[in-house]
Amino acid sequence: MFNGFSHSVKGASHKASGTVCQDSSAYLAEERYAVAVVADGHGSKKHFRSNIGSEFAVNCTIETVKRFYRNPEEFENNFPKNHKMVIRNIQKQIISAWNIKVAGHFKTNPVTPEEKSKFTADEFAKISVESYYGTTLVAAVACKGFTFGFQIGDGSLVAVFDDGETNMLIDYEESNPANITSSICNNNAASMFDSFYIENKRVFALYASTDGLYTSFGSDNDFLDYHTIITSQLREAGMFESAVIKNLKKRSNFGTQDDISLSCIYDKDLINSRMDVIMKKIEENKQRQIAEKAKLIDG
Amino acid sequence: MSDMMNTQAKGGFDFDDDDPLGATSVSKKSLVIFFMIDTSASMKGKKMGELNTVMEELIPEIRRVGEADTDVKIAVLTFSTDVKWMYSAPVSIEEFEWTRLNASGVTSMGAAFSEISSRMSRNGFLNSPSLSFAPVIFLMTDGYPSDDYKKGLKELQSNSWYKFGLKAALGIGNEANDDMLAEFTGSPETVVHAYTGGQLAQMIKIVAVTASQIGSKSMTLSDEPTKELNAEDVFAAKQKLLGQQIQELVTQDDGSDVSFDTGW
Repeated sequence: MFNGFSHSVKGASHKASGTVCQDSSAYLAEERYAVAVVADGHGSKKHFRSNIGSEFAVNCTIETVKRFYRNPEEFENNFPKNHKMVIRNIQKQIISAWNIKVAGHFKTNPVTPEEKSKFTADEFAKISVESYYGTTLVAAVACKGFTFGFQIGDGSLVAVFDDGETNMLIDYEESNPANITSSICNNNAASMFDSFYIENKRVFALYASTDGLYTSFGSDNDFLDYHTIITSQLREAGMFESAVIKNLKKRSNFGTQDDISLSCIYDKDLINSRMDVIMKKIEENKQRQIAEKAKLIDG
Repeated sequence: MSDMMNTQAKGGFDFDDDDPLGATSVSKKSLVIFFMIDTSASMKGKKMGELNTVMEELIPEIRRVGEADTDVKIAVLTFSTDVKWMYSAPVSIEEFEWTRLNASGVTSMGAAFSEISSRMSRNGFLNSPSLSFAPVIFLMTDGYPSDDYKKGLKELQSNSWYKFGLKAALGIGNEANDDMLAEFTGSPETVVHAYTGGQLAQMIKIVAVTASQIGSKSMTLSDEPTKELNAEDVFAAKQKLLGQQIQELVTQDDGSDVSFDTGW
């Protein structure tokens, strides 16, 4: 049985500037599968409706995966054989659904004079309607026997496996300072997704997060250890959720001041039965941190 | 089944001491300053002594730059016959301690350019998730390279972090070649020259502190009311601003000091 939680917290910089939270997050936990999804609206000038775009993106993802899972036996039987093609189809249908939602919203909510006032006529003419709503999208899906996920733009997907290993599932790109974040609003969005597929490996938990979380850490190991610690607390997830929210606020406020979203899906029964593995891993991580610190000091 | 759409968390900050996630520290936005320092034999004596002293004094000043919202990290590469890092990774300014340098050997500046290029990557010294700004690279030398510096510089110039980083250089004494240093920085405005111990101290502080301040400044579209800046515009604007500020500060120097090249 899967469980889950998700939260988005408004970045300290957005609080200071009086702008809205551009992130959205959601989860779906069903008997046979679960979905964790986050989206980070671009937030810059021409993406002035990206908070709405990010909400559409997470909704479309949940709806699309639900639709693909309408016949669970058939899906679970066919998916492993054609996972690349099915993942691509899921991505395409999410993009299509997102564009339909954007078009519908734009039709009933034309650009206001205030939104337009920030641009010259020439500038405004060059911006596509989809760009107003531009956003990233990061999603993970846990099923019986396999897991998969995909993302477009910045963000992270992390799995805590039942042997205690915690890994980022899609490599963080060598960050060119001039990188332009990929977006679901790009014309060629379907070709810009990265994805992963894992079978025959059980996961305690899968996490999707926007880049505001990753950038609040000093090292990749710290980032991964954070997910292991959260997983160790999922036995009492209801009580623990408030601590996660507080920590996300703290990370935004004292870290990079960005919006932060975290969505998690987990197998509570598996966690309860293998808690010793998680606790052992946390202790190993602590020892590694101490050794790394000593190595740095010693040069 | 549970299907929950999240809404933005509301309410003020109220952190408990028993935060189970407190074991994972929060990192501020970070900036790495690379110092490339010539430790060849010609730097021996007054130049190296002065440089060691001013670098020790400089650390608290840079610390103040980062206090607000940026974690400044320092990486020091020395080059003479060999190239050598002072520490095996960039060190936070809060923990950084200057190790006094000695001078000997020849000036393998090309090798130093290659070495710094190999470390300026996500798999190298720029591996922190919190890295939010392109690096500052500050070169100090008193002479002409003894190796093929153009080969190393070409390698460095193809590095994305170099392209978008802030570059500055300090020529020390009469032998340093400002044209060659401008090849490294990309413009003569970001090259300064010190002929005396007093100037050396002043120039190092001006360049390092100014570059740190500009390097850790977020320049976004809000800086430009009429158009949205792209990343290239932002980094070009920062490099230009560094040149302007350095030149303004340098012209305030009175120059009343004894030359390095007098009585050596």
